[in-house]
Amino acid sequence: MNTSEERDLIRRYLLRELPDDELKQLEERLITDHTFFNRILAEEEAMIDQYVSERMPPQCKERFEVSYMSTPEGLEQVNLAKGLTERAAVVPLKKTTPSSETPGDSFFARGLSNQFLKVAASITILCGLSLVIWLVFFYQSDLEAGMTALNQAYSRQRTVEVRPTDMNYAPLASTRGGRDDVDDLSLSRAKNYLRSAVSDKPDAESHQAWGRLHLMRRDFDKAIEEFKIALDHSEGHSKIHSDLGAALLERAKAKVKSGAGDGKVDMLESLKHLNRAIELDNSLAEAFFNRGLLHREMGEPGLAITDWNKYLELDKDPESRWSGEVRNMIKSLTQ
Amino acid sequence: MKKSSLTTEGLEKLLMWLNPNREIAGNIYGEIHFKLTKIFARRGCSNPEELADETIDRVIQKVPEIEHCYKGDPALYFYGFVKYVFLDYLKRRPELYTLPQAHLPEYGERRFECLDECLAKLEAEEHDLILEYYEGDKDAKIKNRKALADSLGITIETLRTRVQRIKGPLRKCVKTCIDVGE
Repeated sequence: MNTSEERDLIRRYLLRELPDDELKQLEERLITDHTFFNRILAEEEAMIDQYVSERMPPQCKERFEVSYMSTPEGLEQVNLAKGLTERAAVVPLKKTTPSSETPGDSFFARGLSNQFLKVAASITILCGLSLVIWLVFFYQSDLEAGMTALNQAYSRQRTVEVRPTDMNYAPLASTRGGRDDVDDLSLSRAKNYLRSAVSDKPDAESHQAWGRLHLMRRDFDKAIEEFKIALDHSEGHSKIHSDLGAALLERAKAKVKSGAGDGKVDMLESLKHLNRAIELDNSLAEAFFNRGLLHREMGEPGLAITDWNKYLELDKDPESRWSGEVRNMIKSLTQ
Repeated sequence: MKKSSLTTEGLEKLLMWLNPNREIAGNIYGEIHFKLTKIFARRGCSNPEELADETIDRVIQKVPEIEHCYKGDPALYFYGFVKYVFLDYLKRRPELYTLPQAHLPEYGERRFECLDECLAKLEAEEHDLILEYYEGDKDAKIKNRKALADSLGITIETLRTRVQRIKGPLRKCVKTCIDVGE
């Protein structure tokens, strides 16, 4: 079949003009031949475009309206194309610059930490024991400083429903994106410190902390990538498994919400990591908190409540706001 | 919406059957779901995503029986269930299969609000690609698209494919938004 014949076949398919036997053949090819499927998508897009731009010949236009647009999906496709044509003139592009959030490119942060260490070493020589005591009791590593700043950044509001490890409580943002109450200055500090930490000492903890920052910023792909790198350094680290499970769950929820997928694969992966976290440490409260959320999303309220009850047993402060949130979630499922 | 009653264990087995590498299996699963949705949509079904889910659920039930003996492209096995799922759909909702007169609803304020909301949810790259694709009027649009494809180092056909793939979830998002608002 040459290109022109194939194009004609695809058009007839899109216009629902194929007899049953040809339809079956085409659908079998569609589902197994990736290149052919992409050609169908391209041809469909070309036809819709021709129609919306009013460049379709009248006899074709009638066939298109009767056949293609008489299905719910076809009508939605054309409608969307019309809407996008109008919107393209007014909606600004996001035009993000390539992510600069790669470890090691913050010269100032690196310079500061290197300079400090040189000074610290000199003072150590001059002051001896007093400096050693100071370093042990008062010095904060980039990692610690970064986590302090990250907690400060999200102290008034958190942007994800899950509970990342080593993050203090903050109520869940009620607005989409939860940008309203983020301390941008602290967030900027956190980025610099944690970027420096990963650059200077790329180990499980630094990658995990860097992943937490991306999780709170709702960059789930990047968070998942960092947690996986952290696990490569230390597979038996229960908190990393818990954080990775949390990020996968949030990505799944985002996919479902935006219609980008059913999130099932991410949810399954999340379950695997949360189970592993609990297997490694069955007193890790965060893992039970998050697994409860996952079970709720998977339509398993009974299992969700079991996990949350376990969380309540483990929370060292039963009056904590985390516990309060869990009680509310249990209540909403049992009502 | 009908919820799948199958367990994560079933889905786990399905992914293993598709490919031992979890990431590859996930991609195959996503692609099959997308293709099944397209098949049901082109057959005029009002809920193609749910029917795709139903097809996959039926395959999951069969995986324990066939995982060691099935030979051939797994995608074809999924296709084998399409006919039965479609027939069941027709029995449930026969009135939807009569072809309604095409009627393009007015693109009102609510629809634009939903479109803006859903566009904002797209990743920056996809957001910009789809807006740049639709930029300009008639002749300018054709030139713009050629320039866009050239700048990305791809053919026009590949560009159209990418746009269709972005529009799938976008369309679903807008529909959900409108349905919720009504």
